[in-house]
Amino acid sequence: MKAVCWYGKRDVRVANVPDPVLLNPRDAIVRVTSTAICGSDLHLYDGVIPEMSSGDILGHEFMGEVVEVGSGVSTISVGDRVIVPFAIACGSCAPCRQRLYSLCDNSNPNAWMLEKLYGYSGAGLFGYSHLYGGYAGGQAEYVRVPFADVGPFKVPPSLSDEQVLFLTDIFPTGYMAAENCDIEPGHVVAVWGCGPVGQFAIKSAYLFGAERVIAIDRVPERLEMAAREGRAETINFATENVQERLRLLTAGRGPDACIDAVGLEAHGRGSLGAYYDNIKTHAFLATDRLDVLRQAIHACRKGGVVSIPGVYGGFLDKVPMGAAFAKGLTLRMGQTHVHRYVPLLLDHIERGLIDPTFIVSHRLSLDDAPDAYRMFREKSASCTKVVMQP
Amino acid sequence: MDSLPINMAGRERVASVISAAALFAIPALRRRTLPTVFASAALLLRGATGRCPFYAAIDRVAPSDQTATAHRAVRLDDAVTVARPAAFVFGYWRDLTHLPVFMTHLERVEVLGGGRSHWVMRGPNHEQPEWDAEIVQDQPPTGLSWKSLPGADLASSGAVSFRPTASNETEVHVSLRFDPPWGRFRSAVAWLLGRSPKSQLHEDLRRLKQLLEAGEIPTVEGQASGRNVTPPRVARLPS
Repeated sequence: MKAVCWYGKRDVRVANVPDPVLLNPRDAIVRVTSTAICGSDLHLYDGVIPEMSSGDILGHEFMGEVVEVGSGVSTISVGDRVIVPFAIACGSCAPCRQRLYSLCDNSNPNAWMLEKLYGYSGAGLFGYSHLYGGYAGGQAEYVRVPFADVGPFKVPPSLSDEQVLFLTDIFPTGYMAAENCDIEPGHVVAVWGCGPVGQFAIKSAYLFGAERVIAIDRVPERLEMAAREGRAETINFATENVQERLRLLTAGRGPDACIDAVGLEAHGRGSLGAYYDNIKTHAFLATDRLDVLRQAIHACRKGGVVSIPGVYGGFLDKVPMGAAFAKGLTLRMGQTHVHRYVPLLLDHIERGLIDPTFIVSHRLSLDDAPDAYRMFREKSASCTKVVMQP
Repeated sequence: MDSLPINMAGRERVASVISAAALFAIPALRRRTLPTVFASAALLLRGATGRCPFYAAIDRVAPSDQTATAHRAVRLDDAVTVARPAAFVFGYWRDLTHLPVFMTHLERVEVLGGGRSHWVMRGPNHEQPEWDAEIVQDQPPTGLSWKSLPGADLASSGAVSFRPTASNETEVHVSLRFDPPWGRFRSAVAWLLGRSPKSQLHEDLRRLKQLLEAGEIPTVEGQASGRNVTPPRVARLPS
């Protein structure tokens, strides 16, 4: 089959690889009909996430048709059309029972690696670093889905692939980021990063009752989208002073909640911290660039929440912990518990409360993956989201 | 300090004593401040006894040094929490034939009846030390212990306690012990140690948890990848 494989930093190619087979009783094989490139795939593309191996199949946002199920799977059957959450969850361990699916105890075959790094390991992920199990991903014609009686969700034929594809990751991720903000009526929410997760976080903030959303980015098309689709007030951090504008827009209070939808590869500009991070990461003295996190902690009102859907991987330098402590902030973060949100958000889509297709800028063939990665990384051609069909 | 195991290899002990002497004697360092005297004394003590508190703190053993382990029992302790009732977990473990499913150092265990069983270990170089064992304590669903009978290739024993938590999960506390003399299976014990037995037991218990909770052990072995194929050439150099 055709699959998008990682062969090194900024080197992805479409290779002909063997078809996947069932390896465990609770596996299924899905024929992929649509798959997307996620912002977190760019972290792999840029080589900032360790423990990738040459030849790894990428992709954790995918959907398709079930073509084979293992002997332990009875909840889905051949022919079902399903979306598959990016995190792999067994459904029966203590975290899964608490609906903290992305923290599953049992789905990461390389749990020992993350235990060394983080103390404990979360769930295995599709198409990601071997720290998360090294599972083959879904940017391919076929994909093996472990614990297929827990992960895949059936979707109705009345909805198109594009309408439901983002239930696999970015829509629930934006939604959980907003849920984590403890939004009350009248609240002002600031969102750093107007990529797909940021856009869904903006829309979700209103679903939780936010009165205003302020969106921060530097890419004009993305700010326009935030204003048009998300009714957000916008700040271009390349030309404006973010802290000052936020203070003015909230009449001195500061946003009630701040969402960092950027993560470890922030392109801070102008601040001393951003230069410092850039130099340190290039000299391999640091792993993460955290200018957005610093800004969010600094800008947030006293007693507010900083919600972090953006991915961080290592040890952060110069985190303004003093500011977070002095202002009594709440910090919430983590991989999305996708399984928990799919039924509700699918219902939102069916009832027309939200149409996730607004995010798609490019519809390509899987064969175009190398160009698509480059374009998405450079944010050229107004690229916000690429959907590929095998 | 005697409570610590001997965890240094012979060469390390010699090096430690030499360093102590050097720190005390080398002219360049003759300005003997209190810290250097303390450091020198610590190195001397460490080298003389072979018991290093820092190694103990990071659980380092001296795998290559057979003299350090030849006369001591090897003991492994670890614990895991399984989200299943104690009776279920006890029941699985009580059928000793299940142990090789999650304990990789075991080839097989046969139940002989009368509380007796026959164990075959999977050693290095196709070595397979064998022994008969008998159940010592059998207290469902809280505890189980066993020990090998005289004539064993490797004298060994084990004890497991199953403690229910408030949320009806089960804490499984395991203690395994291998006793000298090792005889011709010394290398099997050294191999067990060399493979870092502590983390090996840790992985064994992880597999137990995965089996009992998820019903299977997660794997990516045999999955598709672009590793053993000829990748297409890069169409364009990355910018």
